[in-house]
Amino acid sequence: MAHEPIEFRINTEKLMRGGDRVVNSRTPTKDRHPGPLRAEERLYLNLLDTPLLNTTGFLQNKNLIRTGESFTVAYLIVSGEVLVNHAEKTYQLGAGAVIGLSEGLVGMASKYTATTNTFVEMKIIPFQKIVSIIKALPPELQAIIMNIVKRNLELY
Amino acid sequence: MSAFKIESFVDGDVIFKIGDPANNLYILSDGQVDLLDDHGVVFDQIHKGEPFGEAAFLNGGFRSATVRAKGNVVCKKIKNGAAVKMLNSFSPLLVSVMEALLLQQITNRSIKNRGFKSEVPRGV
Repeated sequence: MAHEPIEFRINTEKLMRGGDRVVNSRTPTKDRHPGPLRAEERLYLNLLDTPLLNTTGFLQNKNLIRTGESFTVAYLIVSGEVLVNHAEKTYQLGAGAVIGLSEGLVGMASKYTATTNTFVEMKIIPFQKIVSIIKALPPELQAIIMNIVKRNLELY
Repeated sequence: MSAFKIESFVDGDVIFKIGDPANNLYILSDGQVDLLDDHGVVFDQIHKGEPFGEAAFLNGGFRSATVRAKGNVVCKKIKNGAAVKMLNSFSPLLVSVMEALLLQQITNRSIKNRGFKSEVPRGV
């Protein structure tokens, strides 16, 4: 019996105001949507806005990571779709999905293979730049960050 | 002076409840707290040394769970603005990484909920 893939994607169509597509626009986040936004939508828009993360496009069928490989960067999907294969399950990840960040911060090898299923626009998260900075943070902030990392890894 | 403030609670005290503005992050210095869903059912616990309320990193967010002291509890608390300012002082990229970590948590939780079992969010 065929199984439906498990999906995660933010409804970017919802993040429109007055018919203008907001993704990739420079409209300030607060002006983009008249109603309340879900946490993931706000995080997604904040990350779209930041000039600190470069945006790159990947053609269809580009392998991003294979099981057992180490991440050198992490990804935020801006648009398009990535297929993740993990433990005999397939996940379709779309806009708003973050791939490889927690694994990368602790140097853990990937437990999954990720391949673009369409043309995909991504924000690249250069986590290696901040690994040493995290170690210099006050212990309370380190604990907050590393606990989120730990919980993220438990969820996969 | 540290931006972290010490707060103490006794058994049964509600530290924050669902729907409250998420203005502070906490680290549990001593004791244990229960996480309650919108039916008042305990679905998880936070133990000594663990943070809770990290949704506060997302300025303007709201609590997705109620947190209640179980026994005597001591927490370190920091306002969201102070936490973001502190991260920014080390590197502005840290704020983006923090946001991306929270988004990865939502990504993974959503996958787990659909793929394996129903689970109430823990990030509160």
